[in-house]
Amino acid sequence: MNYGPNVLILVRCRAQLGPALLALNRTALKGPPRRQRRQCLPRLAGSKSSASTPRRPACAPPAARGQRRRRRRRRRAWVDMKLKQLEGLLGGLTQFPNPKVELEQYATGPHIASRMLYTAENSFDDITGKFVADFGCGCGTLAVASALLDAEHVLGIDIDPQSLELAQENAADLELDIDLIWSDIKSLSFKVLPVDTVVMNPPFGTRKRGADMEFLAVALKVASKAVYSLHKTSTREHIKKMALRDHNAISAEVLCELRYDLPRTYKFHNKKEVDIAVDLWRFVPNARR
Amino acid sequence: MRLLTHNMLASNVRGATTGYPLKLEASNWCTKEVELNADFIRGLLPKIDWRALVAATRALGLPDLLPDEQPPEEEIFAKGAADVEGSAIRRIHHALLEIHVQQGSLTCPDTNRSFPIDKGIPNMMLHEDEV
Ligand SMILES: C[S@@+](CC[C@H](N)C(=O)[O-])C[C@H]1O[C@@H](n2cnc3c(N)ncnc32)[C@H](O)[C@@H]1O
Repeated sequence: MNYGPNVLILVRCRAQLGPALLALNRTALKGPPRRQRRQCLPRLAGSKSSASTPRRPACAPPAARGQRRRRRRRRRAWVDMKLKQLEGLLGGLTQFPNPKVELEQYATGPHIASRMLYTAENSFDDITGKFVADFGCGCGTLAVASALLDAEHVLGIDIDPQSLELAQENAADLELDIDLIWSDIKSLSFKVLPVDTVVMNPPFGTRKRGADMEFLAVALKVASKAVYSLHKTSTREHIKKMALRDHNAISAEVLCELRYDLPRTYKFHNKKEVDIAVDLWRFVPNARR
Repeated sequence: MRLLTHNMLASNVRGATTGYPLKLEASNWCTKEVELNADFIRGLLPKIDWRALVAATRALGLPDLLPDEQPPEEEIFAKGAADVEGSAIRRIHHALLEIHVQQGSLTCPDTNRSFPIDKGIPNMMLHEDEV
């Protein structure tokens, strides 16, 4: 299994990671229709729908409490398994065999990629049944993860044709269909905008300053529901200001802070830096354009 | 490339005014069945360009798949329509999501610049002097 060049460690997380997972294996997809399938999945503590369920009294008899705890533990184990399954599938993807440094080609590791997409679906309902675009899709990590979570239509865009070919192979290996476009994000032109959600791990701009802002500006024009993106924590204030003031966002929220282990080649400006702090953002675009 | 993706794309080549719709030519395309999701189609329909979609299906040699004018929503989303073979919603679903163009080209209507589609991936890259 190839775990990609980076390993991400969750430092702090406000969003609910994990719960209520969807059928991840393709055989299950040939089973009952999507909506039915979703309904029969148990809703878990911390997931959206259970937020409104009233808390049970704290003084329940000890026997019942033990039972509940056991049930909860079982559920959590089930969730962990599904999350691990997604993480495992993403870990099996082929990633940039000859990364082009000037394009900042490093894959999102399976750990963070799986959690990024879970959060988007479980906390915000932004993936399943939606039109999801992956900007700078590379070998397709985030696009494949979206398709595994039953996005209705997935579109990956990258400037590098070799990566796109690998993205296609990666998707085909998992019997997924994703659309791909070979283009520079900056010169994309869309006439109609049916994209619900953009997910991306843009170049952080360690090679070309402001590269991530260029991606974000386009993403906020294209998405109608939400944009999920990773940016260096050191630029947090700047990102927030620009997104809200200049780029059409009506909200910009850091969902969690991560440690991102960049490949050696990118650590040219500070030798002591082992990994960098990165934020997972959720932006909401102003859909009334 | 599915026709939903085609429906979005415009050419950004220098000299193009709208660059839309891109004229589709396909030497090789196939279909793959996917489950119909009426809610998705309902959300999508107001956002897509019907004429461009119709033109694309005709370019593939499917003159009867979609009518010139979009049928009224009451008809498309009529109860049970999704289960009826050949209903409007089924045809729309098929056109948008089940057709994959493998080999062909997209041509800018303003400049005639042609963008090849190879192995299903349209090449929308511009040369420096085209930006
Ligand atoms: C950090 S990698 C992320 C790859 C992949 N999305 C993932 O998460 O594993 C950034 C990607 O953006 C692509 N890229 C860089 N500049 C680009 C541009 N101007 N337009 C489109 N893609 C670009 C690179 O080729 C690379 O695949």
